[in-house]
Order: sequence, then C-alpha cells, then structure tokens
Amino acid sequence: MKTSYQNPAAKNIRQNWGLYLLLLPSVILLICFAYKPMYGVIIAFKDYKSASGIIGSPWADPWYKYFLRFFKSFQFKTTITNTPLINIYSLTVNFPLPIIMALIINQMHAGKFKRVFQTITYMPHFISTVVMVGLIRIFLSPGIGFMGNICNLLGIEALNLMGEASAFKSIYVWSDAWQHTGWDSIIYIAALSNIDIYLYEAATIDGASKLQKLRYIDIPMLIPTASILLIMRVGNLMSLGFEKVYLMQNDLNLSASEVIATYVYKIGINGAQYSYSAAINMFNTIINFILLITVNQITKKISENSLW
Amino acid sequence: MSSTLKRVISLIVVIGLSVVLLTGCTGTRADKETDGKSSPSTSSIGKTEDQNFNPEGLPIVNEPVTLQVLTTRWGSMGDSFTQNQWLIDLERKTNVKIEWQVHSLNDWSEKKSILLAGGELPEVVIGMQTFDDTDIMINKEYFLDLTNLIDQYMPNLKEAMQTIPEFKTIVTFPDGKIYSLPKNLPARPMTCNQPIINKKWLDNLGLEEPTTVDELYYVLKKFEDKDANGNGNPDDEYPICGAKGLNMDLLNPFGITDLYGNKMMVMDDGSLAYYPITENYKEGLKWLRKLYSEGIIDPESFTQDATMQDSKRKNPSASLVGFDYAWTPDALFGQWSDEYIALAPIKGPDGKQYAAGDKNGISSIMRNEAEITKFCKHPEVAARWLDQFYDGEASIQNFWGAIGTVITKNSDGTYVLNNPPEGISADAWYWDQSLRDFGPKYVSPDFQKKIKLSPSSGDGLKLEVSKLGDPFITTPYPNVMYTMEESDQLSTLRTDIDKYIETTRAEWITKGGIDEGWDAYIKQLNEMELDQLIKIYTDAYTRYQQIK
Amino acid sequence: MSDSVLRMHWQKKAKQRSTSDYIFNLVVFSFSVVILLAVVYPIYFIIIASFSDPYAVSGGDVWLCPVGFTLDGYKELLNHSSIWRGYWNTILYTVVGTFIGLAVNIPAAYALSRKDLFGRNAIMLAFIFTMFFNGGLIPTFLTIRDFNLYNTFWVMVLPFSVSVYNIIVARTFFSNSISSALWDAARIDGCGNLRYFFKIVLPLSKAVISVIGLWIAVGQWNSYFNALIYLKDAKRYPLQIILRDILIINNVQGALGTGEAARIALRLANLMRYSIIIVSTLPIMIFYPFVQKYFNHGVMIGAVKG
Repeated sequence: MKTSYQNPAAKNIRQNWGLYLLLLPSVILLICFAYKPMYGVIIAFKDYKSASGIIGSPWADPWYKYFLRFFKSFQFKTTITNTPLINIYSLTVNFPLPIIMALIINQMHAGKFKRVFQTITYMPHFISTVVMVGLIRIFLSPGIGFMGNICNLLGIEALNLMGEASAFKSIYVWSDAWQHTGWDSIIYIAALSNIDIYLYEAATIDGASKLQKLRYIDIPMLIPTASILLIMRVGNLMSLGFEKVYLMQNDLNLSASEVIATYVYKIGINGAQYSYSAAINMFNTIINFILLITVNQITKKISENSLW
Repeated sequence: MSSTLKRVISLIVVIGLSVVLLTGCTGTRADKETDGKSSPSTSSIGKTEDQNFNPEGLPIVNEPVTLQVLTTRWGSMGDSFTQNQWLIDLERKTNVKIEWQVHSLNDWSEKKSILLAGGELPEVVIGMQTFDDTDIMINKEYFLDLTNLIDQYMPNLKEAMQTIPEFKTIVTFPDGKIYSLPKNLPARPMTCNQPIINKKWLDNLGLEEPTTVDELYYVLKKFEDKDANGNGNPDDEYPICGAKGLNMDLLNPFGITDLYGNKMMVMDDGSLAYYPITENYKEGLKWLRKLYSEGIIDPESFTQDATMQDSKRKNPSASLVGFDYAWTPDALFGQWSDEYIALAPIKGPDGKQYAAGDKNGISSIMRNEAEITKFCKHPEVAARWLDQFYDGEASIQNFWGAIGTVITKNSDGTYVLNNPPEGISADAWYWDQSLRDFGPKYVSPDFQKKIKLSPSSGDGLKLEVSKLGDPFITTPYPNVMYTMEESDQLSTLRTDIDKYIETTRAEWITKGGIDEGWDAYIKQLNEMELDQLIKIYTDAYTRYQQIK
Repeated sequence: MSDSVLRMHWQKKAKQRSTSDYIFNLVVFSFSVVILLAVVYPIYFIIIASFSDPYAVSGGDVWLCPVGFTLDGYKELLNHSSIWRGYWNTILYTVVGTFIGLAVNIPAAYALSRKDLFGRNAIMLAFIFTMFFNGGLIPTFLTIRDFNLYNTFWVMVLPFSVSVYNIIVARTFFSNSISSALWDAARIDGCGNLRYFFKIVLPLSKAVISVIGLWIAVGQWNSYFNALIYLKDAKRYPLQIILRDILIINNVQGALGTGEAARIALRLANLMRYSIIIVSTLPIMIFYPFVQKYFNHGVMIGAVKG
C-alpha cells in the first residue's frame, strides 16, 4: 500500500483540507438544489403529462420530435438569427463602455463630484423594464416625443423609429447602454481600486503621461476581469432576456425583434407546451455551452485567464 | 491506480449514485403521492352506506362535512367574496362547510403547472380562469367524469341543459364525457363592440351620423381636415387611433366579424370561412389603406402601446379621438365620454349591416366553471352542493351580490341593483361581493326577464345600446373543444400563422401593396399549413354540431 | 550628453507631458459632463412623472416640471398596509440573504483561485455546468418541497444562494490581486489555509466583497420570481410581489370595469408605475454610498514589498 506522502494528489488533498472545507457549503447546495433536480432536462425528450410526472411521461416519438418541430417552424430562421445578432451588437457596444466609464471615474479626484457622478450614473439600472420601454416609446414618438419635437425644429420629417425593423437592434442596444453602463462599471472600478498608488508615483517619476499611465497601469489591471466577463457573455450568445424585447415588439418591426425567448412565450400561452419549450431551451443551451467551451479553449491558449 | 485515487473515485461514484437514487425516489414519490390519495370511483355513488348523505332536499349532509374548494381571482382581489350572505346561508342550509383556497391570477400559469405536477389539488375547483380546456384534457386523470353525478344528483343543472341545449354541448369533451360544469350569465347583451363616434364633433362641423362606409369615410376625412374638437387647432385630431395594431372590428361593414378571435366565420349557408384569405378582407384592408394614407388613422397605431393610446383618448385638454368600436360609449374616453354616442352597424359595400355578437349573450355560456377532482372524498356531496348554484336567485347573487346588500327584490318579483357605496365603482363592488364572472350559474330565459337594470349606466346601459346592433348579429364560430392532438398542433400553427397575418396586415395598411403581394401571401400561408389549421377548425365544428 | 542638454530634454518632456495631460484631463472632463447630463435628465423625468398626471406623461406633455401635480400615486401605494409588511420582509430577506450569499460564495471563490487545488478544473466545470443546464421549474419545485422548504423563510435565502457567476468574478479578483508570495510566506510561518483565508485574504478583499455583496443584496431586493413560486402565505411576500399585485389589480379593475371608478383605477395604475420605482429603489440609493467607499481607493498599499 502506497503511503500518502508518496502520492502527490493525496498529499495535496490532505494539506489543503481547509480549502475543501471552504468549498463545502456551495458544493452541498449545488448537489441538493441544482443537481438533484437535473433529471428534469429530459422533459425535452418526453411527451410530458402533469399527472404522470416527468419520469412517468412517455418518451416523445421520435425522441427529437420537439426539436424537429422547432427547426421546421416558420420562425426558426428569424429567431436564431435575431438572437445572436442582437447579442453580438450588444457585446460590441456594452462590453467596452463600462470599462471606459470605469477608467474615466478612476481619473476623477476623490470628492463630491466623483461620488455624485457615480451615484447618478448607476441609478438607471433600477428602472423597471416596463417603465424603461415606456420611456423609450415616449421619447421616440414622432408625434409627441422628444424625437418628434427635435425633427420639427430641424424641419425634417420625423421617422417612427419603433416601426422600423432596421432600427430595432440599435434602439435595444443603446438603451441598454444608457441604462446599465453605470452599474456595470462598478466591478471594473473595484478592480482599479486595487492598484497600488505607488505605481502611479513611480510612473510619474519615469516621465509617463496620464495617457501612458492609463495604458500601462490601468488597463492591464482590468484585463483579467474583462476577459472572464467576455467569455461569459459569449457563453450567453443565444440567450436574450424576454421581457424587454417583448415590450418593444410590434407588427412592424417583428422581422428584427422576434427572438427565441418571445417565441417560446407565445407558444406557452397557447397551451401547456412544456416539452416543446423545454426542447427549444435545450437547443439554446447546448449552443451556448459549445460556444463557451470554444472561447474558453482559445483564451487558455493566449492568456492565463480562462474559466477552467 | 493508487488506492487513494480509487477511494476518491469510489466516493464520487457513491455520491453520484445517491443523488440519482434520491432523484429516482422523488420522481416516483410524486407519482405515488397522487396515486396514494383517495380516489373514489364513480361506482361508489348509489351505495347507501354513507348514511350522512341526503340524495335530495336540505341539508345535504346530516353531520357537517368540509369541502376544499380552490378558486382564482384577479390581482389582489382577495377572498372578500366569501362573506357574501348567500354563501354564508348556503353553508348553514346544506351543512357543507367550505375551506376556500383563493389564488391570485398573477402568474397563475406557473403556479398552476406546479400544483398539477405536485398533485396538490383540492376537492373542487371553481372558475374558468383556473383550468382551461387544455389543462383538463392533458390531466384528465385528475378530474371526475360528472355525467352520472349530474344525472342522479343535479336536478337544477339537468333542467338547465334541457332548456338551453348549449349547456350540454359546451361541456361535452371530445371523448364524450363531461369533466366540467357550465354557466350562463344574467343580463348579457347580444352585441359585442359597436361603432362609437364623437357626436359633438359631428355637431361642430354640421355633419350627419354616418350610415355607410362612404359616409363614414367622408365624416372621418372632415374630422381630420377641420378643427372638429373646436379648440382652434385643426391638426390635433385623430379620427382613428390604434395601439399595437388596428381593431379588426373596423372591418365589420365588410362582413367580417370575429367574436372569439379565432378568425373563423359561420356563413349564412352554414359553411365555414377563414376570413384572412377572403376577398372581403382584401377589400377591407384596401379601405383601411386609403384611410391611413390620407392621415385619418394615427400613424403610430402600430407602434404605440395602450398607455399612449389612452393618453390620447383621455387627453386632459381636449378630446382627440373621433371614432372607434367599443363596448359602450363611455368605455374608452374618460372625461369626454358624454361626447360620444353609439351607432347602428355601418353598411358595407354590399349594402348590408353586420355586427359581432351572440344570440345567447356575449360570453354568457361558458364551460370549466367547476370541476370535481379525484381527490374529493364525497363527490356526491360536492355535486349536490354545486347544484345549489344552478338557480336563478342563486346565480344573480353570485354575479352581483347578496339580496339585501347589492340586490333588492321587489314585491312584484323583479330584481334591481342598489347603488354602490361611496368611493367604489359598481364593478369593483360586485367583484368584492361575489364570485362575479366565475363559478356555476344558471339564469333561465324567463328569469332574465325579472331582472330590471337601470339603462343609464353599467350593464343596463349596454343592454340599451346593444339594441342598435342586435338585429344584425352574425352567428359566431362556437366555443368548440379540440382533441389533444388538435390542441397541440393548433398552438404551433396559430403562433406562426397569426403573426404572419398581423405583420402583412400592418405592412399593407401603412405602406400599401396588397394587390401585388396577395398571391405570395396566400402561397406563404399554404406553406405554413393553413389548410391543416382550417381542417382542425372544421372537424371540431362538425363534432360540436353532432352532440345531442 | 551635457547637463544643460539633458535638462532641456527633461523640461521639453515635462512640457509635452503636461500638454498631453491637459488635453487628457479636458477629454475626460467633457466626457463625464456629457454622460452626466444624458443620464440625469431621464432620472429627473421619472421623478417628476411620479408626481404628474399620467395622461400628460404618456401624452408627451411633461418636460421640466410636473404637469397636473398629484400625490395620488404615492398615497395609493402607502394606503395598502401590506406594503409595510413587504418592506420588512424584503429587508429581512436581503440582510440574511446577503450574509449567507457571501458566506457561501466568497470562500468557494478563494478556494477555486488556488492553482494548487487538486481537482480545481473539474470542480469549476461542475459549477459552470449548473449555470447552463438546470432541471426546470417542476423538478426544482419538487426538490424544494422534499426538503420541507416550501413556504418558509429559508427558501428565500438558502437554496439558490450559490451564484456561479459571482464565484467566477470573485475568483478572478483573488487570482490577480493577492500575490501567491503572500501565501508562501504565511505557509512557511506555519499558517494553515483556513487561518490564512480569514486573517489575511478577507481583510485584503474589501473591494470584491463589497461588490459581490452589493450584487447579491440588489438581487435579493428585486427578486420576486422565487417568492411567487415558493411562497404561499401573503404574510411572507416580499415588496416586489406586493407592488406588482397592486399594480395589476388596478390595471384589471380599470380594464374590466366601466364608469368613473374604473377610470380612476386605470389612471392610478399608469401613475403608480413611476412612484413604484421610487418607492422600491429609494432604500438602495440610500444604502449604496456607504458601500461605495470600499472600492473607491486602493486597499493594497504596500502589502508586498520586494
């Protein structure tokens, strides 16, 4: 029998028992409340009936019945192009903006202006989606809104932007930017707060300008957090929150605004389609997961910051 | 492999197995639970071993029995209705004590799926918003077949079914059994939405009330051009104002009526038609296109939401909207209500008038108002208790409120409604005092005559206004039931097809091009299996007609 | 090079630096002003909208001042006594939930940040898996019920307290802000993992703990879905559910009924949309500045020398 000191793995575990203890609560919770109900994923492959429960319901015939139904549906192409397109657009805009804002805030001298600025910029985050979309509508209304008034002043014809399919993604993404950039920058501000101020002093002595300090001190400090957040965003490329899109949709912009989540919702209202919606969600999730793994592998090759 | 590593692996395997086992146990436990609860079969009826139960007369049981009843209500309406005097008296007379479980309809669909999955059902369920056709059919095992119970223990309902045949046809499920109970409402009008126009604007501009589509167009054009609301600004009027689309009632003059929103119409010769592919629809849309292009229809009708539309309808400084279809003239326009009147249906290009309605009363006869679940320990008691509701006086007290509080019974046998107390609307008061729209009810045609409502407001007003449209109501596609396979297909087909129809409609009205795009539109609909959709509707209709 | 040439070189460099710095400062300043204005106006709008006639608001008449000043939105809300119960419940859930959330997620994040943890990648993968795949509403509900947590206080703060997203973010902080040299030194001195974590790591991590704590707290404050599914008694309902109920009941009464009171109900519903935001957000806005100071200036000054 090999003794533990000859086996590196066991030695490691014994030495680091404290770390495993730190992990224990989360592991137990996940086993109980995430893994134990996990069998429910098979609902996508079954003809679910409440009275029989998930286990008792018959298997769908064929097992891919609901997946096939989704692939053949009229909205399939629209939804699976709109969802990632909106997300990619959102990524290019809403990923860098919080970083830039954090860098700007970091440049401010500590004091009242800085605190007030921070507090005000995070406030929009708390506006509920319903009110947010209501504001967008009022703002963009050619008849009574800000948009309409400005166009009148300039003498140009006001467009009904909410009715233009081509404008939908931009309205969606930029209103998100307005609403969430402040809040999203908090994590980056926290990362920047960990910078040793002596680094700045040393840089000044070396003759660095503010711009150079930004480039060589601030930004590298943000890269680990930014890369992880980026990876996770890519891992959500096929997921788009339902509520905001649903509220912004109308018959004129539907070709650009019908996404997977809203489609699943509409199916759901028309009858208890548990298996069908579960199948669509599973299709979504699998693609997301594959994307995540891919991006993670790429990141592993080029830097130290990957998920696993 | 080292022994320690083996130990680690075996530990993981053990944990993994126990998770799976626990899972497996729970999975079957849920099933076991639903089986474990008592499920008396209907064959227990007729056994006289239950000496407590009286098959006829009151009380229903000699020793008190408790019945668990679940119902749903809007928002935070709560359970104040349980203080309704009639319900309290009922408990005393029947000796059946009710344990109410009242749920809010907010997000009821999620709660519902959990209740059904977890087998947490009570003995009796009330309210058509609680479980719908699909819920019942998919979960048939949970609900008792009531056919025999009705026959043996529910004389009131039996009589109702004979007087109004729809009472029976509407609750007969595709497999021939009866899983839920129906209702009909008192004092329901026959005509649904009617044309409402701003009379003050007509007077301001010296115009006559329009009777044909051409006259209507002329009047609306004047509304748009001139200063109809008399505030000095000729540009602020919206003759027609929609939200997230246009009201399809605007197509009534073209022969298109769609009471229950499934786009199927029953023609005079008894055949069925799906209106979005008819020539009438095409003509109607062209007319709307003409209106839109001339500025008669608010250009934001397809993009604004109901709140913005409301703010135009109820604008504090001036009345801004000229024409719409609504339940009553005072339903939509807030403080400007007095300026609006109802019109008779507008004559279409074929010279005829059409109105959407139902000769039995709008949404009057409905099913799924009550179900008895298999968890009910005494189904015959439940059946007799529910039968108490199928009586004229019981029904009006469960729709408005108890006699003495909300209703006054006159010495000549007629019934009138009292005024609501200060600070609460009539409707909110009725919801507070009774089950209102939900729950079993039966008002015979004779009894309806005894109800006297004031014609100046509320339900009474609607009955008055409805008279304008009553002679012209079309036969609606009835409230049929679909089989499980049909329901399944229906939901997918409808989601896709309905959306396509709406988007093409929006485009044709705002940008035109209906003539050029029509053939491609029909072709696309056929590719989306429209013929399958129509077949489902036709089959369900045929089945419905054959129920005796 | 001669002294004077060097001096001139440095002076030139200094002037260049201060010019580019000046431009830099100007750019930063202008950006911040523009951002501030862009953000401030709509916030201001919501505040005055909560005091205005809702039809004026959605009719586009409200710009700088409230139109048709009314306190009805607030009065109606505060009339419902259930609001106070909701506030109290939410405060309880938030405080306890944040504490539990931090206790569960932060230690896990630290453990996973250690490269010498055996099985680190496998455990990480197992955690991430749960972010993507989950059993769905019904099996989860049955599980909660099996653990007898249905309709209890604990269901709101315990079962779903693990947030893999938060763990990942915190882990990144631990990997990059705490030098491994620190651990080496401590280990040599005989310090165990646990003591190291509590005595050294935690005090140095005020920034990340505050941010994660803030996220958890806000999540708890705004949550309503879990309450909807797993709570049955109204007396346990958090604020968001009660607010929603009030809003919906007014919408429904406005839609279903006819006549004056229905009109009032609908108008109230439209009005309350704004006052609800203020009512439900005010506590957070008061609380945030206290947390802000933890990540506004550096806490790692001179932790490791040489």
